[in-house]
Amino acid sequence: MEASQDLNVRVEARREFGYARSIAPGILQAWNPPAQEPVALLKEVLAIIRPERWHETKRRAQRLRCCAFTQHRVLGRGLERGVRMRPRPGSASDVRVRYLPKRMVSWIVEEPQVAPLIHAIMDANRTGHVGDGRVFVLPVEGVVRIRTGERNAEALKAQLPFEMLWGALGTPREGARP
Amino acid sequence: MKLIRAMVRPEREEQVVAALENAGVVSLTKMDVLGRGQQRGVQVGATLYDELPKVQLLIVVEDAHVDAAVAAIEAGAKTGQHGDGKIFISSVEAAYTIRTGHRTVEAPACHTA
Repeated sequence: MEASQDLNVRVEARREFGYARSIAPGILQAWNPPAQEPVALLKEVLAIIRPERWHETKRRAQRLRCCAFTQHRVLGRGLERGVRMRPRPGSASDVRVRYLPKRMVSWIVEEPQVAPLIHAIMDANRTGHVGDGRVFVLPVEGVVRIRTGERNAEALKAQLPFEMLWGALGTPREGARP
Repeated sequence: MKLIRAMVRPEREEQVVAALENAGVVSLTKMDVLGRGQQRGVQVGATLYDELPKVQLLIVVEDAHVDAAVAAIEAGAKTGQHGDGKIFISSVEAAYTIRTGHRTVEAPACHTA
């Protein structure tokens, strides 16, 4: 009699333990929720720069691994409304150029890359004269890589490690690209 | 600060720029683009011209100047016909002048792309 009671108690105890063990992960998870994947903020860095400085700017951006860009040849003017100049030293009238050729470049990058990229752009483009250009930072709501359908920060990541595509200093490696 | 992108008729571009200048918005960037609108281009006889040449103007202005700039663009670009173009406004978080390296906190009169 005693032995069977003892057995019953043991069975109960084992059942309870099994139940406790079955719900334990849930409780633990509720107490320690897994860290949420931080959502990367995406920004567009839009630079309007001197055309002749574009290649240097591109090289500097590449070193920061901001390799993907869209660039466009544009015409523009600043607060000076273009430039005025004397064609010859003694000539009576000025020649007015209303729009100056500029290069507009857009990078879509993650938020931590914005500050170094802006620094690199300004460093590569500063001559100290009027017409060096401007850099704007714009918020980006979303990005989609069309080939795979990846969204946002995933869509910006390169498929191959950076070192395979580019050398350590941002110079293209032999055979890595056509 | 806001970025205003305006697609206007190429033949109206000078009028738009003049109107903007009167409104105090001097600096701008322009580019030639091709585009079409809700009418899917223009049908002339059997030919469909679905990529019409436009000029895209990019202007960055302070929030307070947005309404004046938009009104100036409208005044300069409006003919009342289809194809007058559209104006898009988006926000700009920061602007830097490369020459000085400073972040532009408050644009003087109007700033631009």
